[in-house]
Amino acid sequence: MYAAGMALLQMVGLSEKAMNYPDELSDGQKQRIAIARTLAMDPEIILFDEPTSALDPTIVDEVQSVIRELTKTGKTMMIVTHEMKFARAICNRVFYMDGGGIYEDGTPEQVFDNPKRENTRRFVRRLKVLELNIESRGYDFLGMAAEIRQYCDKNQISPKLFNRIRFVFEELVQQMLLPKLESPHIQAVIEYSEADGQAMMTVRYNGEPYDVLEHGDDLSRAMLKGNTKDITYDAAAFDDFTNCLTLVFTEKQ
Amino acid sequence: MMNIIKTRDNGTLTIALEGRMDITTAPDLEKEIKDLDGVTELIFDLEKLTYISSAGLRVLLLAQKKMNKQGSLKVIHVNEMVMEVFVTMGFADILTIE
Repeated sequence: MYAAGMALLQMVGLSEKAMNYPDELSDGQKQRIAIARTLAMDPEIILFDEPTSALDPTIVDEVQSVIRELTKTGKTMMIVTHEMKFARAICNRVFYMDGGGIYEDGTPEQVFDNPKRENTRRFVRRLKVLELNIESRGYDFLGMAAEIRQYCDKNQISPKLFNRIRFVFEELVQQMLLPKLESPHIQAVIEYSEADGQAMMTVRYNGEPYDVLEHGDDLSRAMLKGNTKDITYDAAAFDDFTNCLTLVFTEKQ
Repeated sequence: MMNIIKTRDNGTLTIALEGRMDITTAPDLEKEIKDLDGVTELIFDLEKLTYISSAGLRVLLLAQKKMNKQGSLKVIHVNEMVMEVFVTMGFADILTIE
């Protein structure tokens, strides 16, 4: 029994902590002990429910590498995770969950490289996208503008397209939404597709349903329309957002 | 963050703008053009203007309206970035740009 316990501690890299009390362990070490404890029951299947979600990013790796090691034992494991790189690296079957059920499933190659359904495709593509969150009027405006520039540079988005994205982002956030929202929460997600040179910006915001295309002032609306190929507004709820604008940019409109 | 530099030469008022003209800075320019008594020619020098939002465009429109009554307005030294905004927004046809 003792030897079996020590072997498991060894496996999660914590044999030298055998005589320590729990409060003497770091969060990552506690999580690894929890894994060892599970293994001690010699289960047929192990379920991990977001094993790294509550951990400091710096110690996510140590827990992930223990789980990675476990895959070598051939034990069946089911892992719920938001860490896509991790899922891709260690799984042989991926279930993408959306809308309260299994939305798409397949091998990691199928799901990550050739997703068949829209939401999966967007999710997978979103891995390369830029997400900006504004939670107060005093947000770091210049920092965000710099982030957009960096994102555009990194993805070799032309200066023209970058200018359009930046104008529309500023116009929408500074001029149209912030003055209007009582306690602003705005999320902007920018996606760029190299294949067709098209960029898409999805802007979600809270508050009463407010269609800027309908109620914004003339100049601001013209600014949005003049710089985009297509804009659609949707009052659908998503998390605590109640409004969603989708804007499409191309180099030539 | 916008500097407004005014130079008056008889009836000609030149306003050079430096920096960003957006929702936070455009009101400063709006104040400056409130009183245009005796101005027959208004010139905006935009050489060092790095950004213009619709709030800025709105003030330019306001200035254009005022000057229609008492003289002329022209915009000079428009850089490429600002020019693109003018063209996109149809301002290239409204303003006299040199």
